Formats: sequence, C-alpha cells, structure tokens
Amino acid sequence: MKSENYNIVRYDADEGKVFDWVNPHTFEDEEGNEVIEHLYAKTIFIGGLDSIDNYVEIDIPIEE
Amino acid sequence: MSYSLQSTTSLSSLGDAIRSKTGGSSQMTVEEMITAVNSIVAGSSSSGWIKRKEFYETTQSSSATEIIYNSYLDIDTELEERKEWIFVFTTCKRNYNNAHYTHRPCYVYFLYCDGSTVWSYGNSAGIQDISTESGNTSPFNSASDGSYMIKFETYIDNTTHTRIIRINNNTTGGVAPNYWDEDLNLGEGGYHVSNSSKYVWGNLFYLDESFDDIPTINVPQLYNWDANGQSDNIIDAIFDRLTFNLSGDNGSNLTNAFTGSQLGLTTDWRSKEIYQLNRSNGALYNFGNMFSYNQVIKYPPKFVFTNESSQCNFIYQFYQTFYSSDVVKISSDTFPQDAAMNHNANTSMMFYYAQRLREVPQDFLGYAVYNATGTPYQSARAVTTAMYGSCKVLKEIKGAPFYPCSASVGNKDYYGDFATNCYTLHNLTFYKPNGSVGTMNAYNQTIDLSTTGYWTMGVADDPSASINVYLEPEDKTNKIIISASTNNATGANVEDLNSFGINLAYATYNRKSAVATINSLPDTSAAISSSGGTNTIKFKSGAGSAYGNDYDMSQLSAAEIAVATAKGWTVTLV
Repeated sequence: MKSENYNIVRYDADEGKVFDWVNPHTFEDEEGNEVIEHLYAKTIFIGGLDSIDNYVEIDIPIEE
Repeated sequence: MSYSLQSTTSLSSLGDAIRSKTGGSSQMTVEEMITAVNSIVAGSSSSGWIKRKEFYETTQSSSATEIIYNSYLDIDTELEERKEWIFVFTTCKRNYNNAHYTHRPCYVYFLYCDGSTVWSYGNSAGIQDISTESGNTSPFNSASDGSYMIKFETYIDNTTHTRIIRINNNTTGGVAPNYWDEDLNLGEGGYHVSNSSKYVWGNLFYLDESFDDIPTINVPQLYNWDANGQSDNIIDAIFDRLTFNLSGDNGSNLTNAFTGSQLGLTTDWRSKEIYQLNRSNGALYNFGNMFSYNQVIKYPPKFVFTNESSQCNFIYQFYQTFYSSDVVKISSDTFPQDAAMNHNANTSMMFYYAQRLREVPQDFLGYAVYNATGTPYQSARAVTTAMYGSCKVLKEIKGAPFYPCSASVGNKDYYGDFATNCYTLHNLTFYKPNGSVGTMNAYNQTIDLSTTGYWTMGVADDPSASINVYLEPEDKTNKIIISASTNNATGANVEDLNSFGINLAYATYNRKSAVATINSLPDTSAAISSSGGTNTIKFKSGAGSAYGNDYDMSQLSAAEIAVATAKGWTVTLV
C-alpha cells in the first residue's frame, strides 16, 4: 500500500483578485533605495511552513 | 584604433594613437607641450609650473591657497635627434595617516614626441577633483606643505643608448627619487613631498623603432585607471607588456578600472592575471563597475589573490561589473578558490544588461559563498538585485548565489529583479559548487521567474526569427543564431539550449526548468520556522504549455511543489 500526502493546500484567488503579502516585502535597488515589492499571484501553494494568514486577496492592480 | 604588438610595430604607430585622440590632444611644439602639461597637472590653473632648462628652481606664491610649481622638461639636442620618445606619467594623491599610506585617483598620461612635435594624451581636463578628500581642497594645493617643485631630469644611458627623462617632485627635505629601475612603473618613480601632498611622478623612456625595448610595465593600482576608455589605444598597444601587480593600499580598489573601455578588440584578457598582493587579513577588494559599460571585452582577467595567512580574502561590492558587456562566457577561473564575499558583499547588477552573456559556469561565484574548506561564509547583507536582469540571451544560470545570512538581517529580499527579462533562459539552479543543496538563513526572499524564459518584446511570430549574437565580436560572420519556436513549428526542440520561445506557450523556462530550480533551492526551513516569514518563488502559469503537460508550468505536481515547501519556499503562479 502506498500513500502520498504532501500537506500542500492550493489557493486560487477569486476572479479579479490576486494574492499579496500581508507584511510588505522590500528589496534594495541598484541605488540602495528600498523598494516595496508585491506578490500579485493568482495561485499559491501553502506547505507546512507557511500559512494562508500571511497573504491577503486584493483587487488586481491596474497597470499604469 | 587598436594595435597588435609585433616586432615591427613602431613607436610611430603608438604616436598615431596619441595624435588621433581628441579631448585636448593635438599637435604641438615642445613649448606647447609644456603648456599642455601645465594644464593637465594643474587643473584649470595656467600657472607655469614647468619651465624648460631650469634646475631646482622653486617659486612659491605668497598666497596661502596657491602654489606655483616651477619645473622643467629638459629636452636637449641629443634627445631631439633621437626622434621618438614617450613619457608616461601618472598623477595621484597619496595620504599618509597613522603609518598607513592610501592612494586616491590615479590618471595616466602619455606624452609622445616624434622628434619635432609633442603629443599629449590623457585627461587634459585636469586632475580629477579630489577636493572631497578629507583635509584637501584642491590638487597640489596645501597651505601647510609649502612650495612644490616638479622637475624633469634627463640623462642618456650610453650603454643602452636610452634616453631617460624623469620627473621629480622636490622640496626642502624631499627624498631623492627611488624609482629608477629597469621597469617602467606606472605610479611609481617619484616621491612624495610631504605626508599629505599630492605628487606627480613617472618615467620617460626612449623607445627603439620596435617595441623590443619596452620594459614590463607594472600597474600598481587600477582605480579609475581606464575609466571612460581614455587610455584604450595606448593600453591596447602595450597590453602584452602590462603586468597587473597591485600593491599598496589602493591596490584593493579596482572600481571603474575599465568602465566604458573599448579594450578587447584585439586583446584577450584571459591571458591576464591581476595580482592582489594582500596587505593584511581580511583585505577588502572593490570590483565595482570594473568592466561596466564595456562593449567589447570577451573574457575577464583572472584575479589572483596571494594571501599567506589562513584567512580568506574578500570581494566587496562586486557589482555591475559586466554591465552591457559583450562577454559571451564567464570563466570559472576568474575568481580563485580562496576568494569570498565579505559581510557587505554585493553582486547587484553584476551582469545587468549583459546583452551577449550566454552562460555562467556553476562555480563562478561558488567560492564567494563557500571558502576552500566548504564552510559557508556568514554574510550579514548580501545583495543580488538584478544580478542577471535583462540578460536576454543567457541560456543557463548555474550556481546562482545564495548567502547564508545571519537571521537578524535576513528579512530583506536579496533577489529583486534577479533574473527579470532573461528571455531565453532554460535553466536556473542554486547548487553549491560541489552540486549539493545549500542552506540559506533568510526569509522574505522572492525569486521571481514569471518573466523568464520567453520573448515578449519585439519579435514577430516568424519561424525564421532569430537573435543574432556574435560569438566572436571581431568576426561579424561568426554568429549564433538562436532558433525560434513558434506556433507553427514542428519538432521544435525545447531541450535545445539554443532555442527560445516567442510567446508564453513556448517558454523555454517551463515546468521542467522549475522542477530543476526547486530541487536546487537552498534550505530555508530553519529560518522560516524561527522567523515566521515567507520565502517565495514565482512562476508563470501556462509557460511551456505548447510542449505538452510535462512542460506546462500549470501542471506542476504536488510532489514537485512539496520539495520547495519542505525547504521553506512557497510556490506561486502568476
């Protein structure tokens, strides 16, 4: 008997929505300025070391 | 223009290079040359610090902020009859503080005489303004150091029939020049006037019709050495004679050494080794912008660190090094095994916009993270922002760096724009040099590969579409044609590293690539468990779908994703 359980939960954002981080992520650009980055993912796969609570659904941002 | 060294190469051709340069260099008489040298070394000042045929004359201005230097360039009849000579000198500021010498910007100037006229080549705009240096207001200007005299002396070595002209910087209490040796030492050969003075020094040597008499030219420092390509033609002509032995405190600074240089048309830097003579343990070496905006260099030189201690040397701020470079392939020999990133290591934009970079060997930077014994270096802040951004024909990234940061500073994303717009990327892996998976003590990292592996701009849906990459820059007929995969293609071989996709469905970075990336990701589970943060890897849904489910990113299986999540990476699809 064989069973597989990877304890992964798939979350798909609702229509017109994407996921972003609850707590902003940042990186430094080439000039050392801190830039806020966004996830904007349609699908996330949550494993045992992560939680859906770290993400929030937001409206798809309008591209400038 | 560029020149290859041959036995019949004449100094005149080198002179042609000098004459051809713009920026203040033009045909001039000896007297005009003196004036030109004045303007070179005295900045905007036109004070006549050089006089001809005068020895040891010193004039000091009564102004506390203006020093007039009287020196001479003695070109006697015999020298003039010798026809050709070249004078190479450098300018540099040297500080002495706490028994420690430091050197600041160094410019190289060349004067060439063809017997009747003298041509100057160098930064005729004057010495770089180093007034921001602590304690200094302008070059050759120090109220506390008294007067300066710069003189050139000449003599003829009748044994070698060599005309030697040297420039001295002398004042009361000065030390006699000690640079007189068989080698032309750029940057050496004079002596400082005082502990805080700036000084000019150099050697002039007479060259025979061929270049056989050119001694080995040692370059003691490379900071700004060929910035903006100002000395390209000269360097190219004497490239084989150049020995890059870096010593002294400023030997650690290679910033802007060849920024914007056009060197590489005929020179092969693979034959060059840049020796860093280590001063002390933990010496920092700054490679920032060393080859930035360099359009033609094919391969970088090899850096050789000589360290007698057990400590590793460090590479500091190795960033934007090959910006816009035509380098096709990076050699794993560039950095030695004992090089390592220090705690402020920075490889951001290292290859940013390297339009013709095709591959990077797995161990290229591996030793920058792990020392020779395999111990990871604890980096507090290592940045890889846009490291491979816009490398449009880069087909593989192997051994992508990750830094075993300390958790206290591990909350900043080091991978912003890491591989954005790598249109033809097939593979990206993070394995250690020995092929094993590493450990990364960081969180809030995001590796965004959603724009990677497919061409999105400017390429028509044309089966014959191709990217022309010239494998050998000087041979325009030898080019790489990267074939396109299109909607109408049959038998398109996605496994061919020389292929690229012109839309998302034909992306070459697809499910199979993602699985390889995931398998190589460093383990961040410990950092995630303790910090509560997240590490994310982003893929593009639908990438590679035209090749079937095995390549369709949307078909990533739970088992494949689980490998990432177990190591603390959350997989997302955009």
